[in-house]
Amino acid sequence: MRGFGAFTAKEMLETRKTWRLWVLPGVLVFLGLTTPIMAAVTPAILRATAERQPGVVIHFPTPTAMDSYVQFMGNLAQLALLVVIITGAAAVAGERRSGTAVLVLTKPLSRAAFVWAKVVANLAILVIATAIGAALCIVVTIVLFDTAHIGAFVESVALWLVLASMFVCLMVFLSAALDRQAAAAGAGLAVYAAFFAMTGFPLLRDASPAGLLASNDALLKGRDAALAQPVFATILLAVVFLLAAAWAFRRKEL
Amino acid sequence: MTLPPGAFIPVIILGLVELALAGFCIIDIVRRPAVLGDRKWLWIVLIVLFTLPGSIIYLAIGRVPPPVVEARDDADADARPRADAAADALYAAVPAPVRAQSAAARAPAAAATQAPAAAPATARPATWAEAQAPVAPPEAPEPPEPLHTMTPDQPPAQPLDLPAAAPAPAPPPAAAATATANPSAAAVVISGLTKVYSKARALDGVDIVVPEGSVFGFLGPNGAGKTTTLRILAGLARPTSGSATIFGHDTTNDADAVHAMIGYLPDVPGFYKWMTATEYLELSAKLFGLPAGVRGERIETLLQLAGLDDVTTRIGGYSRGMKQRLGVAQALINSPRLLLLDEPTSALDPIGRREVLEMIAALAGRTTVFFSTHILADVERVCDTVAVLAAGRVVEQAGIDELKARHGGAHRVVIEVDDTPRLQQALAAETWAAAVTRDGRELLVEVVDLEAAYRQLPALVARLGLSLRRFEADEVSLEDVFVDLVTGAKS
Repeated sequence: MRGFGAFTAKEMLETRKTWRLWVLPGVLVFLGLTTPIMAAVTPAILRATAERQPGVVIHFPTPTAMDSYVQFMGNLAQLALLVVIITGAAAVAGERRSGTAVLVLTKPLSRAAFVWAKVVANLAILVIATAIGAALCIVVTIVLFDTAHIGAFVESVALWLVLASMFVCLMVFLSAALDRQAAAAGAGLAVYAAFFAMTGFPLLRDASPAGLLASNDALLKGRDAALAQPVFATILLAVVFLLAAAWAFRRKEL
Repeated sequence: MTLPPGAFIPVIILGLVELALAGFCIIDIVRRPAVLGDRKWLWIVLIVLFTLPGSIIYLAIGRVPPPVVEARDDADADARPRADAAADALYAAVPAPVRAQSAAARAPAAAATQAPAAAPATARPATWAEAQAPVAPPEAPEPPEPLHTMTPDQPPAQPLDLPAAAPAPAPPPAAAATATANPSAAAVVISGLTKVYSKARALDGVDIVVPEGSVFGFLGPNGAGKTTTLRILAGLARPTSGSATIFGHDTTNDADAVHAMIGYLPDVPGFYKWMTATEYLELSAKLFGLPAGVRGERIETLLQLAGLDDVTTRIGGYSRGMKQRLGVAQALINSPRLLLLDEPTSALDPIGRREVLEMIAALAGRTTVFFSTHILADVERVCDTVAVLAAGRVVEQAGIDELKARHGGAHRVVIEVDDTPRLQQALAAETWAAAVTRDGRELLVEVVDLEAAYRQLPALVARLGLSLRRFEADEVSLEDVFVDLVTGAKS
């Protein structure tokens, strides 16, 4: 993997010096800060709105720390994954379009090293941003609510990270295989929708990443969910996408 | 937790503010010439998905100000000495065989641009075949292929971790037939190269041999296939059939070895806009595995060469000329054995063009330069050998003088006298005059022996008692040859 270290260092520098530092981390920090607040305030807002309507009586349960965590996990499964997909679409296709790939790939940098450095950099920012977002969520939840089930929440976030990592690998593959950034984003969203649809079919769900998407908050709620197979399938798919990304990019003419 | 009855009013106001902010940001993105990352659609998606944080992030970092260019003093008259100094630093340890073989190629550039005194004053090769022949046998066995050369104070080994060099394949029959008596001296051998895209044949059986140490001009009109050829040589595209080798390494199957030996500048170099020139050269040097000490020295040399040593702006704010000069600098970071330049001067102003040509001229003899262009004056200035490509085929490959001699036909002389028809009649009997054409009061005489024409034509005018008003030789230019070859290929 010629040039992997140097190019990974460039990717990390790019993360630090460009918009990449702000998008996914910004979103996760925002979610970490606002989700517990929204969990605490939303019932009160709705109750205040309902009281202005004569004859309408709505009973809301008192919000708990669990509500905060469940909402955070829900946001991760939807908004955060969409951000991963959209930003990941630019990983390789963007460099091809701007001509930057041509200059570095005529130096001793293998195509595999090029795409895998992208994966490593994207995974690094994903893990760090998720950790910060989750930590903020825990802190604000503890401030607003009296109790917090931190252990189950951390495990749930870790499972989401496995799923999001698979999407990072998927997007680098699609970005390497397809000529246009928008096409990669579209294909990534289609895969996301397909996994979402598979959650309705137990056989498919339990043997695929759809299982992680469906049981995203299962650990928090103490539900009994068979997660071993979905985790294994997700990791396997991630590895397949990694290899496919290198293969597809090697075949591309620049 | 309970809220006062009017609490929803600020929530609605907040929502409206959010929408207004998002609307403002989206309109700003659409109207702004550039945004950070150059991906307007991505910013719009971000703002639509995350109205408030997206808008804040955009306003904080997304609005790219107009480029700020720290232009160099373009009137700098020190371009050539600077180029020579950089070339000396980069190629101080060029292996002896390269220097020896390159001597013939170096002379013309030296003559054209006053090369440094150290340049050997060897005559320009008279013919293509002569240029192909070995100039001086190496005194010692050829050293292993330098991954990049070093200045004497650099460490002796560079950790490039190349795969074991494959034995150089025998030159393909077509290439052997067309060119070389000494294939081992060839930097580039292209044989029967064909590239077909879905609807177009970009290259159609191209055969080229580029001698090591030469400055090779690759001429052709727009769309002739020059860039496609260079992309194949750089390992960025695969040929449909045929082969291209660089120092014996196939550009398709042995791209790693090829990349360690070349420097490449595409016609429009794409840089990371967020980097500075120093950061980009640092990245390039690290990819080549240059040790830290060598990196710093070489980057400094190349920044001076490119006139960017005082520029601290990010590359995104550079002018086209600055990018082109940085492009040359990054291509030289590994002191390449072969420098591939795709129309390096096409978009430059006269001063920028001169500077790039000075750089190329300074490299003549130190390394092999493969230089595509359609600017014939550039070729005449720095190249010693050219190939002309038209409609995907090489229509001619030769030294420049040989090319002119071969395609210029007979020499031409223009003469004007007071009685043109009488002189025209008299010239019909002269054996050195191949053809005579009248153009008003001028006669255009194609002569087979220019010296004879110089001697006998004034004498003939005197013998006829005519009054001589104008008499001059009309030199065949490379442009004449180029136009003849290209139009001939089209017809």
